[in-house]
Amino acid sequence: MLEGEIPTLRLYSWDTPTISYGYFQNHEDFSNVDNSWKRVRRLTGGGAIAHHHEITYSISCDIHHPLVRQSEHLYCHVHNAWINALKEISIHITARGGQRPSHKDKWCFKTLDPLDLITEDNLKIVGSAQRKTKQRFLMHGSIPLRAQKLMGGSGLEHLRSQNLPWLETCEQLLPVFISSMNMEIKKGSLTEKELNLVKTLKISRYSHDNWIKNRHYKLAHSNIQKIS
Amino acid sequence: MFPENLKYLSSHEWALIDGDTATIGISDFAVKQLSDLVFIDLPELGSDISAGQTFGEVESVKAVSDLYAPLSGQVIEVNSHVADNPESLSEDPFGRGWLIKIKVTNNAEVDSLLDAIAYTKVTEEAEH
Repeated sequence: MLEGEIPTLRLYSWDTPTISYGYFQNHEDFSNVDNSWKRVRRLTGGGAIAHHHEITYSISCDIHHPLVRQSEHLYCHVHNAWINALKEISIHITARGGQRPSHKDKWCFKTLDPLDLITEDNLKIVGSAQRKTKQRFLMHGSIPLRAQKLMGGSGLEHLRSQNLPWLETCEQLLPVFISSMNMEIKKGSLTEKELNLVKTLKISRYSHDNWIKNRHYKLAHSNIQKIS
Repeated sequence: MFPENLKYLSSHEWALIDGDTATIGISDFAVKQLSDLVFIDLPELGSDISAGQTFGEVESVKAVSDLYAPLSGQVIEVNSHVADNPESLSEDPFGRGWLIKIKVTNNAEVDSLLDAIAYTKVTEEAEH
């Protein structure tokens, strides 16, 4: 959530199967999960996600950007754009609607909130979350290509009954997603400044046990302050 | 219109100042924007908070947001009822939904807070 930069849409995947905990979740709740899954704690709340064979997206921008206004509106706006984009590859999904569930599972894809996107079989296919600070706004989410038994939900490959290569699928989805968002985008890659911040954050926060297990990040706090 | 006896931050926190003690909470405008609250993380008793810095975090169904301190001071009371029942904050955000009380360490900081009229303008701008 780099201060002062232009709004950024990013699509990415995961090198290593990784579980991301919601910001307030307990590390101990996942002690029975196979250690072949790496762990990381997100800046956003909600349930845990098992990231493997998926399209992950993030949108970050200034908190005062017109996109943000009311964050729930943006939530629907982004999800509608994914509904339209997935239609492009013949996958038909809808927002669940209805009431909030009384029970929340520790896994994101096993909890169905009204704004979540689901398949015709009532399985979650897109899970998203937001984080707001004084300066910046982040929304990110997960669209599994393959369903993960560990966390439930569905996957695009299951819905299409075929393998879907990550890059080709992103290239098919992106133009419709962008036009549905009513955005113009300029392709780019991480700047040197951003890459340096990634290194700093990895060392001082995201790969550190204090953060993963206890949500503490006192180490190198002065560095964190600049970007959170 | 917001209570005139309170001071505000544009990030929607309020402070009720009584001598060298301040009660701090978040406005009904913020509560409405956050919608369904599921978790509130508040500072420990005795900890120090600094004006303009985060003193806690609140999680709604879909978003985590920071809470900012209107004033600097030491935490002398934490509303454990709200911490244990976040959804109760929406019932009375300017009263029973207060979050923490602090012993103010720098009274001069009060001058930089917004009054109810200025805060009303902030919320009107946020809605347009």
